Amino acid sequence: MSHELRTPLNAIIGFSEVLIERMFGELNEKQDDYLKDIFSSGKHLLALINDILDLSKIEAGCMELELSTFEVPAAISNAMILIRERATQHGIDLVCHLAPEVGEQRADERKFKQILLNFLSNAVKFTPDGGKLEVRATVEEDNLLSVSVSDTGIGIAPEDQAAVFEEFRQVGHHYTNKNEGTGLGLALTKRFVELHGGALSVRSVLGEGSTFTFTIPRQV
Amino acid sequence: MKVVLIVEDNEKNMKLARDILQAKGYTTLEAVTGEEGVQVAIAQTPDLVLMDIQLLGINGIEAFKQIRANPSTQTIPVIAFTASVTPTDRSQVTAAGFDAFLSKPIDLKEFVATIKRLTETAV
Repeated sequence: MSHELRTPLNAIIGFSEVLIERMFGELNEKQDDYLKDIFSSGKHLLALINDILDLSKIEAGCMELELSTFEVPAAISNAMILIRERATQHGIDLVCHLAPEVGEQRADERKFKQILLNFLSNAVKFTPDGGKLEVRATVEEDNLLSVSVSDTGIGIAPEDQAAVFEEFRQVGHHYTNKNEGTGLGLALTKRFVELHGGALSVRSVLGEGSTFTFTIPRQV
Repeated sequence: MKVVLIVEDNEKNMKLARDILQAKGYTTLEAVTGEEGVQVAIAQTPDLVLMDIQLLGINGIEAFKQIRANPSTQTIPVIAFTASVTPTDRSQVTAAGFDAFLSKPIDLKEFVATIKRLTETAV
């Protein structure tokens, strides 16, 4: 089904982008504005399609993990690089604390990074300019690898904390000028963690910030 | 001027690829089936082939194999340009030995850069 959904988007995204890039001549302001709306909506729809297909694959039991053994610190730093520019734009400080015993882990590296990247992009999105993000990785006593992302963001009310893992739920009514995402990020992230036999949790105080943590059984 | 053969069965995708390539100064050839793609490649020996994968008749992978098997076209770089992007689809394309993989929807910068790279290194 993916192929059939993506094919028409090639025309929507492709034709709008070549016009935005002025490949076929100058545009007036309105044309440029509308084309950028078409382009970004096409991209948004593509992200939604990708997430929905991933979710339905997991629900049908068809999502397979591509297991390999990789260095957790390198994977974390890779994910952080992807978010650093956006954090810097908003004056958000990004720090990482790695316990020395965190080394290799056997897991699906791509999904591992996706989980962390989802935490990080949510944290940037809901943290006011000048805030701080902290990534922590430790090995817990019961042999669980634990990775968390803490922010100094707007926080989530206790009664809303369970709902953030549901599809298309954005809790609270806060204005955010970083209005992006599919509304499926955390739902998908939760499934990815569960596929690894792990669990996901949130601690948060309204107005102070949130900490999202995932733990997966340690395997080398 | 470098010549690029586009093998593509979707009319709008063909128009997009053709217009971008021509705007970037390439000459384009077109084929709408895998069989036709192989024939045109052999008859015209382009500098590059841009190959859709899901085609009627023989698919893009089979067409690629025939291009590689023919002495007159075996060194022509071939790019897979496809909306089939699952890990399984990707690994089939990689295993077949394509010179590059470009996904649909198009990433304009990557598309232009990949074609430039492969036409410049072509002997």
